Amino acid sequence: MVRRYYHKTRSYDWLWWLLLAVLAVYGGWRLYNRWFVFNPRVILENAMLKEKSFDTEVKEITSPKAKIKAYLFQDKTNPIISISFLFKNAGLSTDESAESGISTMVASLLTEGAGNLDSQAFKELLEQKAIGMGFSVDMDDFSGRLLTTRENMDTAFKLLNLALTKPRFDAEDIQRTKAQMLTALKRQVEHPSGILALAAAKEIFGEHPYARNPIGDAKAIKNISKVQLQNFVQNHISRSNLMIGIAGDVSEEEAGKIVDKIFANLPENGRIVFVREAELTFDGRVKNINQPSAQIISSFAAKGIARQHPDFYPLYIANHILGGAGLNSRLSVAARENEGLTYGIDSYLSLQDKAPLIRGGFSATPENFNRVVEIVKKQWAKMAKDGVSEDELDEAKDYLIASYNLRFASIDTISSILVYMQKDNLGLDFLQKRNAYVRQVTLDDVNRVAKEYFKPEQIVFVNIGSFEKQGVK
Amino acid sequence: MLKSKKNSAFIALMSIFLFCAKAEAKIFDMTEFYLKNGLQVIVIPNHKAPIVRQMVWYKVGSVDEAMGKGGTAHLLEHLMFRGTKKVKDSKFNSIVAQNGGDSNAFTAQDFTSYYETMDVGRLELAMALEADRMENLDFSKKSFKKERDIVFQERMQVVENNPSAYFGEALRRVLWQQHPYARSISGTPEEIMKLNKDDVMAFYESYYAPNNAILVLSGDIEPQVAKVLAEKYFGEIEPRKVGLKADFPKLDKQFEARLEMKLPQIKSERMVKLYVAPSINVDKEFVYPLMVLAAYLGEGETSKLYKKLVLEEKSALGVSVSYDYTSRSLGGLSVSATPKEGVDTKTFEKTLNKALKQAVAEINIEEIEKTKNKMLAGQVYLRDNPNDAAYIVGAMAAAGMSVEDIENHAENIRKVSAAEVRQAAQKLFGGAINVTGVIKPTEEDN
Repeated sequence: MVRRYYHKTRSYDWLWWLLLAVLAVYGGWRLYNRWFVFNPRVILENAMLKEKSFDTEVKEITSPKAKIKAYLFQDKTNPIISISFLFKNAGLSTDESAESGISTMVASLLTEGAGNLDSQAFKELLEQKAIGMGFSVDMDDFSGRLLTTRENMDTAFKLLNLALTKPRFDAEDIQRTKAQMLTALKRQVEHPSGILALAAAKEIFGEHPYARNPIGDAKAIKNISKVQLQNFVQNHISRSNLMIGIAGDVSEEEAGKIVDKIFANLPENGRIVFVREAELTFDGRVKNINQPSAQIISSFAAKGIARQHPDFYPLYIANHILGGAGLNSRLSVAARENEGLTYGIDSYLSLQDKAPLIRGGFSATPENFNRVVEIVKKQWAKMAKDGVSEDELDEAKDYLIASYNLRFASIDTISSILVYMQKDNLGLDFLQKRNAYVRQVTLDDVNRVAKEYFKPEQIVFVNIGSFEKQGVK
Repeated sequence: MLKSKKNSAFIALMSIFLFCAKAEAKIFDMTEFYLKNGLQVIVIPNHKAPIVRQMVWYKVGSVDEAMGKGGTAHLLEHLMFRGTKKVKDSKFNSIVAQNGGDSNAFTAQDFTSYYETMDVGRLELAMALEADRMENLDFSKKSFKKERDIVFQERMQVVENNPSAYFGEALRRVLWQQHPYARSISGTPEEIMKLNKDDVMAFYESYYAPNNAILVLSGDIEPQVAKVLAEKYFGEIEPRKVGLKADFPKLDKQFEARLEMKLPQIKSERMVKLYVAPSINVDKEFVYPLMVLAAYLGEGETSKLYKKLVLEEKSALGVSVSYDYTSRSLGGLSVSATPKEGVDTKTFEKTLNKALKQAVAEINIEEIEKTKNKMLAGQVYLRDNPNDAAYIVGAMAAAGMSVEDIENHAENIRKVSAAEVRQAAQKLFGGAINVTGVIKPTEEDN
């Protein structure tokens, strides 16, 4: 009895304490994890949602009648269609200098009426049918975009074809557009960053047409006539310099017909305009524009690399680590996070046809300004001297690959990607191959290219703000 | 999963019938549910690409700051990226970056919002991160000071160095007087530099609670899955007592104000008329008529005011009207115009007022129907970009709009009659508090 009793108690005790201990350990472990541990790897391993394969196939189609080629990306989730197109070498730098701004003027006048539809009738139809149509120019090219529902697509294609082939250029619309452009020129310099952008272009590009005002020249704009506008369309809107991207709810067969409807009766050839390569000097010069203002804004530039260059990806990655988007770049961590000197600082690859650049900028109060410049130069020098680490390279690649699908959020963006794939000769399979291109980049590539391009003594700075306030010269 | 498939077939059938019965389709086809802790969750499926935008909206903004503590809400928004008990310092940014996320946040008068757009395979990481900073915010004194400096620089960059933003703030001060909408969202530079860590933490403790927040998931995700995940990541956060929110004055004293500001940087004159207007929370019945009125008067280049001022009178280069109804207190309607070079301010103001009066007198059934059609023709585009959808829905829900009202936008617009538009216009232009603002170059530049 006694023995048994004794035995029994001991056994219960032991189990009881064990249970408590297990519970305590388990509870403690749970609490510890809940309060103190954040392990991204574990979260992803236990995630219910896994990476999905995503069909990014791009097809090249040829229109049945005029045999015009276009890229097509099908997306049937929403009954809408986006078409982006580009007329190469019809941008602002190709304008005759006495007509500087004619391309921008044509871009805004093409939606001001065509055929027998005057400006109001044309716009009324666009709005009633919810058709988005717009044209724009950059230094290199003349671009357009169309967004339509399937329901109204026939009207949309007809209107776009009319706009490209029979723009009206009515006197009153020309006059109003000129007045709007002249006001835009005035407003451009209301914000110090507007003055800076113009001054930086002049300083960097000198005599090259890229130094021009992106709206145009006031005197030239005032003098442009209807005949000149018609000539512009005749010379630059043709099938020979055209690139088209179509995205959305459309079949291959339909896409071909659409291309014919919009573009078949454009002239076969236009005038070919060549703009010379820009010969730029990067010698570390600094231009300060003195103007009373709350902050000094800085724009800086150095020699860059063209999109088709074999070193594009290595430089792209090096720059991403140095000053790419987000708050995680070296520049942002050094100037913003660690020292609180500026709200934002970045650097990026500017890919204009005739003058690829590395560009960057920031804005800071006068007392902080010199320190930020110092940080920029130091970080550039460090990039050239020490390059990046294996870990940094891996992180950058992870970002570029994992963020890749984010660009497919809207069909407008997709159709414009299709155009740039053609312009930059990236190949029909680019969307499938792009992540592999990123993966292939080696540490040696990045560090070799970094040494070649990040030379702090060559950066050109153009700054605007109150320099006397802190004795900056 | 099988069950859900059956359900969707059933729903598909149902929707055919519904479609016949009701002409208007829903805009987003979203699903709404609440967690036990009070967190409102809205899911907007969009399967175009394998990405999801997560947004967390806190129903607290700059209006809820104590007097003299301007900028607290915004500084807190910045500090939410400066560390928690689990995710130290700025690790948040590097985790999001390494996983290809796009992340940001913004503070408004009525709410504060955070977002991450992620590949669907990384979404749960963003959910874990948002859930963590909903309850575990913890940053160092040093981080606080640096971030306050950054916010000061932001104020300098975005407002002090930008003449039109500076003018905009001044104009709102005149219009809103003693109402908290008069205050600047960022706080004044002096207020910002006086804020301390305790101010910000007290604000966080009072308002950042699941029962004062909305989680929006928009993109390649099904409501059933979203429900499981919302429970998993946000379900354990304890609800908290939410602090007192702004007391909005009634503003029953009618006045008309005027502000003319000459700034040396300004090179071309512009005029704006701001009206205190009904919102989804005040005089709600006028909201849809006012949306139609704004479109009729000044949306696009076929609008009534564009025709009158730009094409007929030729006294303006551009004119536009916009109406903001997603506010916790009163809304606002603005008419903005650029007078043509050489037209003097007084004359232009008279012309603008006359055009407004005529436009209201000319409201008729035919034109209102046309306007409504234009407003609704492009509704299907709203289903294109999941990021935009998350923003639109979140902002409306955070201001207190019901999911039904958001979905039934088209029907609510269709129902508006010309008589209701006229009545709303008369109420607004006849008796609402308003300010006429003019910004122009200083004399010597003229």
